[in-house]
Amino acid sequence: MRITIAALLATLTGSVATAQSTYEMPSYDPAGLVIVEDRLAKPTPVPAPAPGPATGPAPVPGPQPTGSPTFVEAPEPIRVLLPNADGFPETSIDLFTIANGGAASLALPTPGVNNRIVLDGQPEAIRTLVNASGGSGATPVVSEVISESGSWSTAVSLRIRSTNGGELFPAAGVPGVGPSVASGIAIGSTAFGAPEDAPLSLPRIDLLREATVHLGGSSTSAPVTIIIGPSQLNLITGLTRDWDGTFQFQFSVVGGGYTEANLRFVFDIAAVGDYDRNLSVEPPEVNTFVLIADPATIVHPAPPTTYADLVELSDADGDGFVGVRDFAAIQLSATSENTGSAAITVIPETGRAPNVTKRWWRRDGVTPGAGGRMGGQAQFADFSDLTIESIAADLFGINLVLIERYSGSLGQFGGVSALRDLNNRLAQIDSLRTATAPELVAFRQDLLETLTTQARMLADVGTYVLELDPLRAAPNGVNGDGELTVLGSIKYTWNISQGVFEVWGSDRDDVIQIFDFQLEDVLGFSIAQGLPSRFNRAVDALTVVGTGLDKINKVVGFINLATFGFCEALGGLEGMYEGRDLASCPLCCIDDFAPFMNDLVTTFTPLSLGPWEPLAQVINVYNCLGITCGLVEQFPSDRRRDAARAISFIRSELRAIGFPCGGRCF
Amino acid sequence: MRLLHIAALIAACGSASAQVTNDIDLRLELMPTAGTAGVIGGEPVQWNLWVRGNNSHDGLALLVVDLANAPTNSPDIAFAQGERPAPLANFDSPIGFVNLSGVTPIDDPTASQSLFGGRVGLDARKLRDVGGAQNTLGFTVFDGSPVGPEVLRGTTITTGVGKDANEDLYVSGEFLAPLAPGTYSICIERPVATVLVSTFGLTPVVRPAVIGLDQHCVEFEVVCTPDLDGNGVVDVEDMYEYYSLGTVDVNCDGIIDSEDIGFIESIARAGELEDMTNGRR
Repeated sequence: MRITIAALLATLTGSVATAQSTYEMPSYDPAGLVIVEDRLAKPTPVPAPAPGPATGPAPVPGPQPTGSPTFVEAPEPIRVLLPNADGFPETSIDLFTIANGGAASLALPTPGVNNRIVLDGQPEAIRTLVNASGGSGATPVVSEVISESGSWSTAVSLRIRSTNGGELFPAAGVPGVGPSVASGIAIGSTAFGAPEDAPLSLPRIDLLREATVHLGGSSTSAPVTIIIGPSQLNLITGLTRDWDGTFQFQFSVVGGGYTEANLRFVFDIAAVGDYDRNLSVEPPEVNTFVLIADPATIVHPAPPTTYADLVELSDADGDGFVGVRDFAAIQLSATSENTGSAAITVIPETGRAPNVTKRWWRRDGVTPGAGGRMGGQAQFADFSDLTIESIAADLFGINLVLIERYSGSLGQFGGVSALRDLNNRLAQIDSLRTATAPELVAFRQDLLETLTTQARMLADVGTYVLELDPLRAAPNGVNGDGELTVLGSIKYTWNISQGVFEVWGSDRDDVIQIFDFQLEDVLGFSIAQGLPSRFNRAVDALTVVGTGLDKINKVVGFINLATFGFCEALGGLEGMYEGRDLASCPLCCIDDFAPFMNDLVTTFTPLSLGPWEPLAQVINVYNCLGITCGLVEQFPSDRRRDAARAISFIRSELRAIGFPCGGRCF
Repeated sequence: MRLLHIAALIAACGSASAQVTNDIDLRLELMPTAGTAGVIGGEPVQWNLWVRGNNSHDGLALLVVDLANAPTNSPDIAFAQGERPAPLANFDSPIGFVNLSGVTPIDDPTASQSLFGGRVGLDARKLRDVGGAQNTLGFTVFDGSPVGPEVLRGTTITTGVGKDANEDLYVSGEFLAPLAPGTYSICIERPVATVLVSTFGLTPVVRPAVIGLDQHCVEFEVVCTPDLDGNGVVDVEDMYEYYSLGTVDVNCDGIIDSEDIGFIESIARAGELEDMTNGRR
């Protein structure tokens, strides 16, 4: 049913008869889907009203809005019922258009906090103040509409939606100054100017499969850019333009894992060119794009697709890597002297290459595989799945988690040091996994909570978890052909043997890498496996010599706390070592530990592991901040050579894994 | 097909002499750190790639090479990324076209780094795809989208690079000489180049370049090393070894004195932070 605004307005108000747009009333689809068409037939600009404050009485409560001399009568309620995801009937209707300075009151007949008013409009300069919590009299106010010169090229439509099953009544509107407001009806436009050559914004639309953009009156030779975003899930497969300036493009979804229920496409369409700035969008077949979902629910997103990779690179030289060498083919093909053998045809006018499958230019040369798993090694999941429970499960089953923001903005959170700290904490937690002393359990829990907080903080800004196989942890990752250092500035100098670690990210485009590690066992042990194992060996050794569980626990706590500089966290362990108050001195641990080290040297001497190696094994988890050559002096003169070599060994190893340790002791 | 043509030309001219009969000639220059007695293992070796031409064109539009260890190198030299000379900005991101590091970020296209200086593999045995290309397409690849690679964002062209007999520095870098004494060679592999024929009009005219190499491989010899125990690492054990051996010219200054052991120690303690070890060394 098509109703002319002018006629309807004349019926309703007897005024504001200047509108010339047509508005197609929503109709009800017997199949149960709502068809809401927001089709404005190129509203004819009308003169700009003089800006001024909104005026008029307070909003009218109740399902039957009452008027006053300044109100407009509400039309008959328009009911459009659609079960929403929560099972509530959801009403959605395009309500009206407000011009500059206008305001409107809406009557929401059903009280309840679930009434929501969704103001769906462009341009975004409109600011809305909505009181939607009350059951009646909710008043959306368009507080600002940019008004300069020219005319509105697009109507501003407001959409009201009730999610509690309430009926919506396009209610009385309160005119601002000028012919600005009508209720329930889209009305014509008023002054809205955009500078020439500025992007024209069309209403944001949710759609699927195709859309047609009319650029009325534009020259077919004008450069046109259609911006589609922010979704990176759409794939533009074609862009054509008809003689009348109509653009058509199609997109499709590739990859697996989604359904219509978990995808939402939001297109911001803008155009730049010498048009008459009279644009409209006609989303076809509205009932085919009932696609509303939280983007966070999207899993296994499609291979990279959407951004303007206007030049497609392919492996022209066949070296298995798509990169700058292959650009030579494009250079030559763009030269008139070299036509005929082009690997790609480039259209300078739009910069787009037609009839080619757009692909994300993968700078790492990795070709995305199907689905979410890459080469059987990389797997992706939504980071939001990370919970305390899952962390706990993972940590105590898997040793290390590294978090990296792929975009290289690590510095925002302390960069490498933050990662290292996190890494260390995790390793520390792991080393404590078998501890049973209450103090250690509490300490472990404290670390876990700290980690969780930190991980979530990072996650909020788009970080990704690289979850490392405990036996293969190797932060110096590379891709399949060994070309890419994933962690960028993180300069770990060790690699771990047999390494493959899995990459987790919320978007496979972001951190798709396959990490195959060469075998370079620099240290002779892995950070994930070696430290705990060595540590445990040391503890076992203590057990062998009969030091007892109590002392073992002391050693465990002592070593771990001192290792990571958490002496300040020793409150719970206060007095564990011979009554010393370790909590009071962050860095004094080592000195306090020195005589104990001598005990260890003595203890280990009878073992077959050599005179100094066991000591190194015990204290190699120390942060080298405390491993100083001065410790040598703490040993008896006849043991200092061994102590020096042990400490040198420790410092070397810690330095190799990134700690700023000193060199050898003599 | 065109690339095959290029390859054929390269093959034909791969053993080029120093004559500038080719469109461009490449010369790899190695400048190792050396004492009076020779090159010291573990010390930096500067490398430069120079290009010159025969005036048959208007300069380079693209030049990409690989640097590789010669098969005889043992151990191999570990490469690091080189650096682009400032005048060649049009060959690099964001104006020109180069490989970029990392994965294209969705929300921060500026995060990636140019790999004009080459891609280093895991084993660092090769430095691949050193160089870049100018945007000769006549248009920019930028449609206003907030995402996208930081390449081809400009159309300015630099002419004259490698055009005439005056050598232009195309890229330079540094690596560490192997610790083990011996002769090592660095080779140029897979050179690809295009040159500007005309820069008039919207789209510069580009053609493949015939490339000549001054030398395919350039060698140097490590004479001295602080790695006295030959385990590939300079550490305290080498200091012990020094005292065991007694007389070794570690720093290649032609003299055996206390500076030799000091040279080893300076390397062994290179990672120390002074404020951590002050008074306790």
